[in-house]
Amino acid sequence: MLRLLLLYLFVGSSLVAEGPGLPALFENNCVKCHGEEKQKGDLRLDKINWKQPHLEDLELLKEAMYQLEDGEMPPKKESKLSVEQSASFAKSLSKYIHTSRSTMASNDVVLRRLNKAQYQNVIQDLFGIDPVVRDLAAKLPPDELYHGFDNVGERLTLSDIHLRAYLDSAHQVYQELNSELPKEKQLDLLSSDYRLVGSSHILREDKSIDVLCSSFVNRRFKMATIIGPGYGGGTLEESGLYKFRVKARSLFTKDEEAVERLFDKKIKTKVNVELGEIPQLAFFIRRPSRAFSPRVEIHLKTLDIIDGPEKVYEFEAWLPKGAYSLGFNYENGLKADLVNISTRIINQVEPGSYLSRKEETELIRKGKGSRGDFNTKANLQRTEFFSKYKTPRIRISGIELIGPLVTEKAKEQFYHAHGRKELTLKENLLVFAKKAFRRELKENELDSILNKLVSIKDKDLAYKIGVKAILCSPKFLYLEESDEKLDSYEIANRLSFFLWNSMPDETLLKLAKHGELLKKDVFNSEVERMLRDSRSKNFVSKFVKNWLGFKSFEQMPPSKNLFLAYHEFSIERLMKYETYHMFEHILNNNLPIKEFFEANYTFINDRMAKHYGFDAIEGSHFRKVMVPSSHQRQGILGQSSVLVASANGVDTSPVLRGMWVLEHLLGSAPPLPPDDVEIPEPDTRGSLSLRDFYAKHRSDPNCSSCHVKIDPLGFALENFDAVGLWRETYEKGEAISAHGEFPSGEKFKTSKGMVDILTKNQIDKFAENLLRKLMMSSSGREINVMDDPEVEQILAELKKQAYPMRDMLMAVVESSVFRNK
Amino acid sequence: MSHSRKHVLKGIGASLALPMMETYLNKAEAASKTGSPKRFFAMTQDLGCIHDTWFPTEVGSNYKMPRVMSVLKEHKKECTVFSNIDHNLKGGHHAASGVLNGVKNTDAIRSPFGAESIDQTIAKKIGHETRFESLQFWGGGQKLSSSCSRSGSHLPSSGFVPSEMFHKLFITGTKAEIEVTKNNLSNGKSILDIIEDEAKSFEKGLSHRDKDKLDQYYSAIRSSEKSLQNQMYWVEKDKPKLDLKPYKKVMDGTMDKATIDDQLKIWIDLIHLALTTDSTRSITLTIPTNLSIWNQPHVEKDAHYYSHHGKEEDKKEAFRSIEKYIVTQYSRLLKKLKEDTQLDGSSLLDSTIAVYASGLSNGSTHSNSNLPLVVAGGNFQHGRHIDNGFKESLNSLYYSFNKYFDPSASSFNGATKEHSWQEVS
Repeated sequence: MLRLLLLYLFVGSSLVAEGPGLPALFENNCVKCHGEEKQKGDLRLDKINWKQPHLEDLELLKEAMYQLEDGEMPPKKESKLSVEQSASFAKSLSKYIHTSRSTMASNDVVLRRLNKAQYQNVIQDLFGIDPVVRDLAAKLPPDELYHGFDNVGERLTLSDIHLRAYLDSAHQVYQELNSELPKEKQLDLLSSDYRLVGSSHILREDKSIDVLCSSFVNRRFKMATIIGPGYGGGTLEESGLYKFRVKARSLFTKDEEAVERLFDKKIKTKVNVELGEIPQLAFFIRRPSRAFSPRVEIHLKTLDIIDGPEKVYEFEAWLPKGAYSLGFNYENGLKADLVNISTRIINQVEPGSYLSRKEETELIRKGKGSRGDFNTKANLQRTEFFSKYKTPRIRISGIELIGPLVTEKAKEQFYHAHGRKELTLKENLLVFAKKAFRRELKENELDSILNKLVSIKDKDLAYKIGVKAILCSPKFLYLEESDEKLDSYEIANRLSFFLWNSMPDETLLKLAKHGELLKKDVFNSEVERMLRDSRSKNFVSKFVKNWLGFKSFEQMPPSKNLFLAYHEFSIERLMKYETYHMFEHILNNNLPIKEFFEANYTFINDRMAKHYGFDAIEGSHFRKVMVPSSHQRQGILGQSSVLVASANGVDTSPVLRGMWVLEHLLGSAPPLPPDDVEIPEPDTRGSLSLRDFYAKHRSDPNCSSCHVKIDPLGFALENFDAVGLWRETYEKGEAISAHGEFPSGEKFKTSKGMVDILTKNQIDKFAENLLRKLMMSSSGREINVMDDPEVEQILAELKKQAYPMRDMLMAVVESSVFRNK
Repeated sequence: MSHSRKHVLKGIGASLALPMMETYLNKAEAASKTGSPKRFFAMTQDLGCIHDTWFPTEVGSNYKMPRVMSVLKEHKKECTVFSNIDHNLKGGHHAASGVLNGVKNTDAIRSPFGAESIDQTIAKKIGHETRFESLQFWGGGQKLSSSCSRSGSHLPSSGFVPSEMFHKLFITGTKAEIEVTKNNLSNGKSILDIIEDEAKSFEKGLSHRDKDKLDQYYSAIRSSEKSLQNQMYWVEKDKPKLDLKPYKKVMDGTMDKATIDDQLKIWIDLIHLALTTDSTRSITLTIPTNLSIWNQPHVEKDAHYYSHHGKEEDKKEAFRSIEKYIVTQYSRLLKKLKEDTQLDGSSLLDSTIAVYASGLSNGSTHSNSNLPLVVAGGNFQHGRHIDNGFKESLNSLYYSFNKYFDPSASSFNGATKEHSWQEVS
C-alpha cells in the first residue's frame, strides 16, 4: 500500500492530492499512542489540518519526520514499518512540509520594544548616565524570555508598569544632570576637606594610608570610606565621567614570617591572607544608609597593585552627585576588619593590651573617658601593631579625582538634556528627536509635539517636556520596521542593537542616510568595525547569557552555606567572564565551533585558577591558559558558568544537566513529563544510590523514551559539583562514576568521553541550534519551520569549513531573516 | 538580636492607639455606601511544604490540624484549609510564580485570557478608592511579586525594604518634595497627551499585527492617565498620621538589615497598618524564602537547601521549622485583623479575604501539584478542611473571590464556574 501511495505522491503535485495519503500513514502508525485515547508525550497527531496546515502543524510534522528518520518512532517493538518504509515515510513528510510552506505567508517580526538592557544602554549613550551606577530603569520589570532570549517581539509586552517606569526615568534624567555645563575640577580626596573612616586601614604619619583588610565579609560596614564635605557627606556636586588618579604600591606581600607569627595555630580566628597574590585594590561608590534609602554599594574598578616602587594608576568611572561616598578595600587582604583583629588577635599576641568594645562601654559609663578617646587610642594601637607586624598591605599616598571630564561627547550629552542656548526650541528638539528616533525625521514630524509645547512660556521647561515626551514616544521605545524589505536605517538599527545592544552611532547613521550601508562591501566593513569596537562586548555577553541560560544565576544562585566562596569573591561574575572570553576568542579567530566542546584551554584570572585548582597565575586580568593535563576540563562543558547554570544551586541533578545540554546546546529538549507519570521523590537517605534511583525510573517505559537521552549526558558531568568543582564522591561518600551510553549505543567512561562523542556525532545539531539562536537574537523573532530552507542552506555552506564561527555570524547578518521584516 | 531591636519589634502595632484606627476604618466605611469595604490579602512563598505535617487526613469540620498547621489553631474556625487543589501547572520553580494567576510565566503570551493575578483583578475594581490601587510587599531575589499584570509582567515590589515601604505609606514629603512630585505629575499629564498623538502618527505605517501589538501601548497610556489622576488627588492629602517614635529603626533603615525572620514580622505589622489606615485594599506579600537562612530551630542553612530534603528526616524537620514560622506570622495577621472592629461591629477580618499559599507543593520533587492553601476571613463559611481531589481548579476558587468583589464577574483566567467550597454538604 505504501508503494502505491508513494507512487501517488510522486505523480500528484497538489496539496490536496498529497494530503489523504499521509493522514492514512499517521492513522495507521502513530495515532494509537498520539491520538484521542492516548497522548503519549503530551502529543496528538490526529488533528493535523492537512488541507491548510498551520505553522504549529508543520512544526509537529517536522518533529515527526526527525523521529522517523532517526528510527526512534514508531517504537521498534510496535512498529509495522520497515527501515526503508520509515525512510520513505519521512521523505514524503519532508516533501509535504516543503510544498505547504510555499503556500503560507512568510514570517515577519512583530513590533518590539527596546528591552531593558537596550533601554539602559541607549539612555547611557544619550545622557552618559551609567546604568550600573545609577539605574534609571530600576522600576522596569524584567523582560519576558522566549527560549531564553530577551528580545523576541512576540513575547515582549508593554504595560502601564513599563510606561510609568519610562516616565519616571525621564524625570530622573533631570535630577541627575545639572542645568549648567559642568566644569572640570581637581579634587584631592586625601586632603583635610574629606574624612576617611572605616576600620580596614591605618593612617601613617606621612598621611599615607595602609590598607590591610579585605572587608568582603563585613564590607557593608568596615570598608575604608572617603566622605566629602558636600550635603549629607556627598563628595561631588556634579554627576559625570571622572578620572581617578591613585598613587599606590604594595608591600610585604611575600613576608611569610610576619603572617605566620600573627596567624599562629593557637589563634582560632580565621583571618588568613592570600600570600603571593598580587594585591587587588577595589573601588566602590557607596550611598550611605539614611532614612528611606538603604545603603548601596557599586563596584567601580579593581586595580592590581604590584610590588615595588610607587606607581600612578588611572581609570575613569561615571559617578553620581549627591550623598555618595567612595569606598576602597584590599580585596584579597586580611579577611576581617581591624576591630575584629584588634580584639581577637592583638590581645592574644600581646595579652591585655586592647580593650574590647564592651570594656570600653563599661569605662565610659564609669566616666573614665569618651568614645572618641577610646577610638583614638585604639587607632594608635592598631597603627603601632601593624607597623610591627608586617602583614601584606597596599600603601596609598594619593587619590585624586578629576572631572566631570568635559569631552566632546559629554558636551553633546549635556545638550541632549538641555538644548543649545543659541538654538530655538524647534531646532533643539529636531536634533534630539533625530538622535533618539535613530533615523531621519519625516517632514513636519515634530509639529504635533511642538504645537503642544507652544503654550508653555518657560522655553527651558518646554524643551524638557519635549525631551521627556520623546523618551516615552513609541518611536523611541519601539524598533520601527515598516515594510517587508528593511530600509537602510532599519538595517542600521538591527545591526547596532544586535552587535552593540544599543543605538547606532553617527558613522552608521551617516552610511544609512546615503544608502551606502546597503552596499555589500560597505556593510561588511561596518560589521567588522562594529565587532572591533568595545561595545561588541555587549553582544558577546548578552548572546552567551541568553544562549546558555545564565539567567539561572540570578534565579537560583548556589546556596550560600554550601558554597561560601562563590559569594565571597564575586566569583559568579568571573565565571561568566570566562565563557564570554572563550566565545570572543572563537568568534574573533573564526574557529570551527567544535572548539566550544574541544578546547583544551580556557580564559581565567588568578581567582579562577585558584577556584579550579590550577597552578597559580598572577593578576586579576583574564588570559588564555592551557588546562593542565591532570584536569578533566574541556570546552564550555568544563566551565563553571555552564556547570552552575545547569545545576540548581543546592545539588546537581543528572536530569537537569542532561536537559540543559539538550535544550541549550542541541536545541532538542524533550517535553516535560506527562501528567499521568508520577515523578519519583528523590531519596538521599543512602539506601539507594543515585544511579540505582535513576535506573529504576528509566526502566519505566513511560519515562525511558526521553530519559535514555537525558540522563547519560547528565551523569557524565556528575564529577562536577553545583559550582563546577571536581569531586570523586558525593557528600555522603558514594563514589561517582561518569560512565554511560548514548541511545545510539556508543559508550563512554568520563565526561571527556561523552563530550568527544557529542562532538563527533552531534556537531550538526549543535551548529543548527547555534545558528538559529543567533538568527533569533539578531532579528527579534522566533525561527521556525518556515525558515528551514534558509537555515539548511546556510548550514550546508558552513559545514564545508567545519562551521567557522565568524562566518556563521556573517551568514546571519546577510540572511534574509535579518534583512527582511 | 540586640535588645534595642527586640524593643522596637514589640513596639510596632501596639503603638497605634485604637481610636485612631477606628477613625480610618469608619471613614472608609462611611465612604463606601455598601457597608464595610472589602479587602484582599495574599501571602505566598515558593518552596512548598512537608506534606505529612501539613495536610490533614480528616476532611470536614472535625479535622485535626497536623503539627505544622497547628500554629493556626486559634483560627481554625475562621479559616478553610485545602488539599489536592492546584493550577495544573508543571515546571517546578518556574511555575511557582503562577500561584495567584494560574499561568506559568513563559506561557503568559499564549494564554487566551492573559495572566492577571487575582489581587490585580480585584485592585482594578476597587483600587481607585484608596491612595494605592494595590501594594506588593517584599518580593524575591529579583524584587518581583507574585502579582502579575494581564500582559504577563510580574509587578516589581512596591517596597523591597521596610524603610522604603514605610516612607511610601506614612511619610508625607516636605513641601519641596511634594512640589517636585506635583510638577512631575503635571508634566506627566502633558507627556501622556503628547505621546498619544505620537502613537497615532506612529501607527499609520504599521501592519495589522504590529497595530495589535501597539494596543498595549494605548492601554498603557490609559491606565497611566488614571493612575496619574489618582496620584494628583492623593498628593495633596496628608498621609495617615502615626506616632513615628516606635518606627525609628524601621524608618532609618536599621530594620532593612534585620534577619529575614524579623523582616517578615515587620512586614506583617506594616501590612496590618496599611489595611487599618485604608491605604490600600489589595495586598500581596511575596516571601523570598529561597536563599535566606531563617533564624529558627534546626535551621543552619538556607531554605532552598532544606527543601531538597531527599526524605532525610533532619532536613525535613528544619524545613518544617521555617514553614511553621511563616504560618505563625500569617496567624498573627489574622489575629490583628480580628481585633480591629469596624463601625457595624464586625471585625476587619470579616471583610478581608486573607490567603496563605505556595506555588510549589513539594520542594524535593519540585511538583506543582497539590499546593498548600489556607483561606481566611471575608465572612465566608469556614472551619473545614476541604479535600478538593483535583476536581476544581484553584482559579475557580479565585473566581469566587472575584465574585465577592464584583458580583457581575463572569470568569477568572479561564475558570467560568465558581468553586463549590461554600456549598456545605
